[in-house]
Amino acid sequence: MSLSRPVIEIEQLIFAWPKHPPVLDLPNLSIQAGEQVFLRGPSGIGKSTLLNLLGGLITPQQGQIRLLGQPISTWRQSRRDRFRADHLGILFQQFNLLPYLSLLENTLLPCQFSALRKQRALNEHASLAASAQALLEPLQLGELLHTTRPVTTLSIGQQQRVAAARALIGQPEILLADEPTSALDADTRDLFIELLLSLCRLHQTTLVFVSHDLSLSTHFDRVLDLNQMNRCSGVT
Amino acid sequence: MFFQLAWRSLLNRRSSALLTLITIAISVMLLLSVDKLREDTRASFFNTLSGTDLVVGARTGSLPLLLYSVFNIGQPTRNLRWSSYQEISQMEAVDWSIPITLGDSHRGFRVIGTDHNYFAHYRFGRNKQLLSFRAGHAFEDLYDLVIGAEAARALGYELGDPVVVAHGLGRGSFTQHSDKPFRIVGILQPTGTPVDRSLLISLEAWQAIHLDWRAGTRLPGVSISADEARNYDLTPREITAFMLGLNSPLATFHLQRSINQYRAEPLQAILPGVALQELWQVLSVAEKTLLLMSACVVLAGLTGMLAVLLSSLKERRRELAVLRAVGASPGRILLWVVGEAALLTLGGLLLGSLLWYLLLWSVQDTLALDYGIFLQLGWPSVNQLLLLAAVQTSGILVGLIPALGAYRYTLTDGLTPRI
Repeated sequence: MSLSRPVIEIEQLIFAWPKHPPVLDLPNLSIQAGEQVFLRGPSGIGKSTLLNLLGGLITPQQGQIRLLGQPISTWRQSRRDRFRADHLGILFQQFNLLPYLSLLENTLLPCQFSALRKQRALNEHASLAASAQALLEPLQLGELLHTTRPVTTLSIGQQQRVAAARALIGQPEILLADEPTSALDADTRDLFIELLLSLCRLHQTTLVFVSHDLSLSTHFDRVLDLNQMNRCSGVT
Repeated sequence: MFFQLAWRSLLNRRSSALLTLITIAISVMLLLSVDKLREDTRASFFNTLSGTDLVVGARTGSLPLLLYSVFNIGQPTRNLRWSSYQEISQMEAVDWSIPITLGDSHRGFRVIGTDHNYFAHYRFGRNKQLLSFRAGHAFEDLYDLVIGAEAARALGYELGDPVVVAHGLGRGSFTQHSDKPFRIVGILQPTGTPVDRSLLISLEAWQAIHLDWRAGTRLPGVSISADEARNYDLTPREITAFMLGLNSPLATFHLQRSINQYRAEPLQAILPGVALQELWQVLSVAEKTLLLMSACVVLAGLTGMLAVLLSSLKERRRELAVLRAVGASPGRILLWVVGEAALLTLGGLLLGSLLWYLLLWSVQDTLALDYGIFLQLGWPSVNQLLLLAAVQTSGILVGLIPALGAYRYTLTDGLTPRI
């Protein structure tokens, strides 16, 4: 990364749920464009809270979060929602897909909520479908695209790969993944991580990958231990 | 685009959505039917008697007089003298008069003694219609009888059938005027008024069958045959009540006062409109109860929708989290759930209205032919539109409950739905 600029910046962040003591108290943290960060920590340490903060669903009581140089934690909720639709891809543990949409429609879902991502997808490919195909093929889902199988009949590994394609459609700058491999067995897990990382590298996507499974950390450039970073961890 | 997504989501839950829709549709159909029933009952009630300015009888009370003279309900307590009727009906202000004598019946249907004025002046309905004959004509011979539509249908009578009038109003009356049978010469068209359930004979015939009766019993040893009776003076001695039509409505109150102060005997004149209004006050309790009940049915329908929406919300937390992740705002999700409830209610309204029209259309011929109730298949009335609007508003308000739940979920769950 020769031309690195910070994509995610956290400044002296403190967060507490209403009527509870703080759960997160983080020092400064900066993640560069294209970095692939493994964020580890035992459950209950506030990983999900941090992801919700980065996703702009909640805002900290103190400190600031800047994404792509924008102070999103100071914005109104609707503006944060729009920012998330435009610039963030999000990957859950499981149940990522809407059962009533086809594989292609699930993949293209973000383009319904973000004109920017739709435009980006169309800039590189002739059609939205071609753009989806360009993501699904490297994820080894190209053949499934031509079947009419409901997405609920796909294996969990396949479903997670569709979700990865959805998170990456329209080239968002940041991908937040919340334990996306926890429901997968060892073989599909390694395959999934390899495919995900290579796609992120290809599109210069900054990846924050949250997991408690340290054995996965070898795949990543950088490993952050929330347990050590979070100054609240001793309290809870 | 978003609408399409919402539609697909709803289709995914089509069985429960369809059930909700049908529940609402049935309750709306019931609401509309009850409302129509109310309106038409009210209309036909107030149109039982139209064009009559005064109803006169022996002094009792305005309600009893109205009930027995117009609705064939209850017993007349006293009669009034024929001479009084003669005098009043020939007053200057009077345009026409219809005498009525009551007290006999035939198999549960009342027999009314009257004269040809009944066919010439009795008016009913919104258009002030006169009675008309489905078959035959008015009575001409002494023992001729005209029968109302419903009575004819219920008893299976045709023209020419013999009818024996029973003395008194009891259904199981043993004292029959069997020595002087009548013959049906006319069958009336249905009117939707108590006339449908009546049998009409002339005042002279009434006098004839009671020649050998005094004070409700047959005179012992006196027997006058049907043909012998024709030779007697059959001028009535008394009648039960009479209706008056005046030359000018301005004279109504003046005439009413002079009848109420009539010297020869205590009489009472009532304004049918006012008395009907009084009676309706009593009946409207039932009317309001009906409306309340159908409102409860609609409430039950909406509660059903609420139950379906709330239970599906639990299953939809993941769906909501996914939509949130791709950028749907909580406000949009709130709108979505409310919109779904609004759409279900609207669908229910349309389907319910359609079912209702089908129902009306299928029964309107039967009602018109057999009961004289003429339903109009028109656009919904203002009142019905208001009812429908109230249902739609309630549907939206009910939809706000699960929508606020969904809104809360999207805020607390964030990107990690608790399952």
